[in-house]
Amino acid sequence: MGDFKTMRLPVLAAAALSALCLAVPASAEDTAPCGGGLVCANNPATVTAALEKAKFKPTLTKDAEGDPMIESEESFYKFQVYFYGCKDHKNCDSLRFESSFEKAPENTPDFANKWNAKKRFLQAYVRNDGEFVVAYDVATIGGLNQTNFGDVLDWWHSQLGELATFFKEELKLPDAKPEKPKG
Amino acid sequence: MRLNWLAGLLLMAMPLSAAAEEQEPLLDLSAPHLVAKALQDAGYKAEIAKSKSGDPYIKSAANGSDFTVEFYGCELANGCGSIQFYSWRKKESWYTPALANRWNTRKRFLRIEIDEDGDIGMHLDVATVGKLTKANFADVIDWWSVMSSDLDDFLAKEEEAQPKAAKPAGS
Repeated sequence: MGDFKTMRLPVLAAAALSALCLAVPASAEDTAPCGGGLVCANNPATVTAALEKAKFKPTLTKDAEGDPMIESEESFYKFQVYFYGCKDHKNCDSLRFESSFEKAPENTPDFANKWNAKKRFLQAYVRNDGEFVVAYDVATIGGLNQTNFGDVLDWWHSQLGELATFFKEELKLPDAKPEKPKG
Repeated sequence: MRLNWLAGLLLMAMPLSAAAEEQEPLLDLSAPHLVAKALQDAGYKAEIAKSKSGDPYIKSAANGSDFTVEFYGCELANGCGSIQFYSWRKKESWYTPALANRWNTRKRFLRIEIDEDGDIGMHLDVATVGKLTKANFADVIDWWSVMSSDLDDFLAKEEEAQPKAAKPAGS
């Protein structure tokens, strides 16, 4: 009984590393001021305020490169919000929501492909170190109004719920629907 | 006359506060004809078509490659809640989940998968409830366009890295 792997464990610290080695298009940096009432990556306070309004508990900090980063959690998993396309740690042009899960034998490209083929919004992948990651990139040039950014947060939250179900069903974790008996 | 003068002052003051709230023109993207118009205004072609099941979608193109925009969560009262940019690349023997994973690990915005036919499916989902600022929708289309052409460069490099006299698959 105790041998069941009952939980997929989120990874926190290591996730900060994952944000560093991604390729970004040449046109980085958002120098236009964030419009009144809008949410923009070039104004991190607008992002934390919107997360708070949606009942998350965000903490604004910095990633390993010194760019803004938010750590938070929701009812399913802990997550980070990375700021991309920054110049001198400012004028960031986009956000990336990310949640990571510790190395496990089932973390294979096939497993990630199953998610990517069937589900929406979250891009899943297995890193070289064996961790399973889901990410949701959000373009913020021009800003998002409060309702639309609230909808973005809804999608992030609901798709993490989908992910919990996906884990249960695909990995046949204890709460999943009964499967055919072995043999 | 004095009253009119006061009213005039009030009228002058009101648009100022309204402008502070709504500086950006908002695009309603809750229906196919609205998204088609927004794409056209952004300089892309857009034609409304119907899927086999009768659902409307948009046919468009960027960098010479076709893509579609599909609609999700549609209700009569509120329109659709989200859209998905989608395109695909025809099956090659070396399209594998491992290749898709290499892309998904390193690249942003464009989620790719190997579908049941062995083709590469390319997806970008966008939440549209509450409307998007015009500049933000332009930014979204730009990400789609940039990352799609980045994928083609990535695939060209992957193809070059294939063994020249590859054995037929399944032998």
